[in-house]
Amino acid sequence: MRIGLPRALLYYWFGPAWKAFLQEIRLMPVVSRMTTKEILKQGVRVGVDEACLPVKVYLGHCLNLMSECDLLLVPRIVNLRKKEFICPKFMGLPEMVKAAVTNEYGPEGKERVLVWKSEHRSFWDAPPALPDYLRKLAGPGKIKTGLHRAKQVFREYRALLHQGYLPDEAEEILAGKNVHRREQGAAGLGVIGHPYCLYDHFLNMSLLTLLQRREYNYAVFTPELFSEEELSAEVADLAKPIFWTLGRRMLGAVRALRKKHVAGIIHLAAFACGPEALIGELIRRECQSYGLPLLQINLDEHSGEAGLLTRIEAFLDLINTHAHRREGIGCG
Amino acid sequence: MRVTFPHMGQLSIPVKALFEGLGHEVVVPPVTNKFTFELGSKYAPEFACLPFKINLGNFIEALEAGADTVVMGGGVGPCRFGYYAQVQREILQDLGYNFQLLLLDPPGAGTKELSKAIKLLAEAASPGRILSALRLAWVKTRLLDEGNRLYRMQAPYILPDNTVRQIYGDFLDQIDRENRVNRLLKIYSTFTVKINQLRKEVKPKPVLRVKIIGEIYMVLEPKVNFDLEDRLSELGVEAHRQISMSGWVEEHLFGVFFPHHAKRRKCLAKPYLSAFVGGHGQETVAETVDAGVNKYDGVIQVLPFTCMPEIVAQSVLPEISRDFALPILYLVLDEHSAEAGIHTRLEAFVDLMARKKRARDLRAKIM
Ligand code: SF4
Repeated sequence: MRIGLPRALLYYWFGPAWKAFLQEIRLMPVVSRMTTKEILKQGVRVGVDEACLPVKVYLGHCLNLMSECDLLLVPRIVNLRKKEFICPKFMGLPEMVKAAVTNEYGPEGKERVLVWKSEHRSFWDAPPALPDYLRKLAGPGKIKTGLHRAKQVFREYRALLHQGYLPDEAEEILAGKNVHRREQGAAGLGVIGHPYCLYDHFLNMSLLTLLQRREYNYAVFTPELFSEEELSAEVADLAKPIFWTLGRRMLGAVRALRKKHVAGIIHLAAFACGPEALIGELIRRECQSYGLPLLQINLDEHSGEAGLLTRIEAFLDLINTHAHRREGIGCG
Repeated sequence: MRVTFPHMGQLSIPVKALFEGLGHEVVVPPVTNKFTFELGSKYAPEFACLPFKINLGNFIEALEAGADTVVMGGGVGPCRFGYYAQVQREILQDLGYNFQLLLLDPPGAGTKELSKAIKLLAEAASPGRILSALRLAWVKTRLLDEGNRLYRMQAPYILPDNTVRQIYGDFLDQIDRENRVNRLLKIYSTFTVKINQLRKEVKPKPVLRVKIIGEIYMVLEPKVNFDLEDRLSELGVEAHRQISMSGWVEEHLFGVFFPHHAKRRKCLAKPYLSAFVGGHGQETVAETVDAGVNKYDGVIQVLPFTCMPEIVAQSVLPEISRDFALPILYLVLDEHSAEAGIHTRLEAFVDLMARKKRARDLRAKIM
């Protein structure tokens, strides 16, 4: 049986582990291909107008997969950590998907959506959270080994991201392929954002690889390069803990990046994202107080490549003059 | 201490009574106005939701009027409201205001703010005084909610006769000014007698019944929803809402004693949205189902642009609408929404409901 996994939202966080689990219980995972303009268009068409860009992208992937798989696996992620959340949309994601596929395929479409609910840690540690259907299909023994395997893969995958591989590279390595380490330049540059904004090459027009290429030659740091402990330690002194995991990681990353003396930070935010509207403000203030150059970009349905590139280039120019000025002062 | 707090519908009446009862001077922010909108959108992050901006505007206006202490609610997520105050504090400090922020954070938010706030607010008052202040505020809250409910049910029949408006306005004034519980109860009963009397005098006419759902601030604050309830009353529509100040207090502060709110929400929403999604998302779904089951003529969802829980709810509403043949109007509002446009849409929606109702009645007659 073919089980669809949309390559969007927290696929970039969990994907390979979900895939490994399905393979282990002898089902065939079908992962959607990289986001394309078509996929985005479909998502925009079926999503609620007000939904944020990443959710629309997710819906697009779902529709795209429907014809290629028998069942669609959609996570309901309440949180990744105790007392934190990601965003209400992850809690209601299955309902949003069901509404969208019902629209396209009628009530039968809805029947093809499997919901895997997770609260902190329960993805791999709590078999009851799995969709009933899968549990019955595979039986407790297989489920157990499957989850065990998934947990293992998850750890390996996160470790690879931690070493600086991009999600698609990490996936290839896990699949046993050889991936060359890209050479990194000397000057560091921070790029922060939610994983599905940072690593979706279509949404950000391959910004990460672009920055590492010859003409720019930066060493690029993303929040994934820091360990969870490091990131939480950085924001431990906040008067009130930030209860959105991804937001907390971003602010933590800003502070950690400063210690790495990066030349500047680019913040890729999603259009109409709720949490980022507030977190973005905190990040802006933080960078301002350090005198750290910051570029905040809102990715939306219409961000055209040219526009994005000009803004990035202008920002990099600014960083350069900034750096020279600093050096100048240092010499004087 | 000169205390201020944000507006939300009639909330200022009981909150003022509470703080004054505790012995503080209260600076009620000027009623939300055009200037509040401007201040809020000027200093708030661009994509923050409308309630954030209006709260901020309220604070600025109150601080300008001499307040030195801001009391604000908190939360533990996932709704953004829980982190409003942190960001608002920074913005206000940057603007050069000197004030302290008292944060009513629910226990479990990982801060010591609540105990600090309670200590500062209650330190000057004896336990007896605290109790009577709380009681007074609670009685006012209840009476305001009840009064509104009654008014919304009767006004559509009585309007355009303006006495009913006058009676309601006087009622609000009196509740605000009176601070003795027995007198308050009397004010309320006089009000009910007067309204019911008026209703008896007018000829019965067919009206539509609509349920208002959505995000609590947008539902309760007439200054941001373009006087939605008043407009509906004028258009001859009974406006009902489950969301109210007292309901919120019962469910969120004293949920142990009032478990029926949560039960109702989960039970009704279950077939469509079985998970909690923060804010009032599940409530919105639950009340839409309720409206469908009880054959309302329509439902109006009011939400601020980019409100996450309501967007989740919004994705499942069309299905409920189909299942119950229930028309739904979505009002997504931000500081750029134009009054004229909203009112036109509202009128069109009322027309649509009226047409449907006529068709239904006709069918019933033929059968
Ligand atoms: S965190 Fe932001 S971008 Fe992600 S799903 Fe929620 S609103 Fe959308």
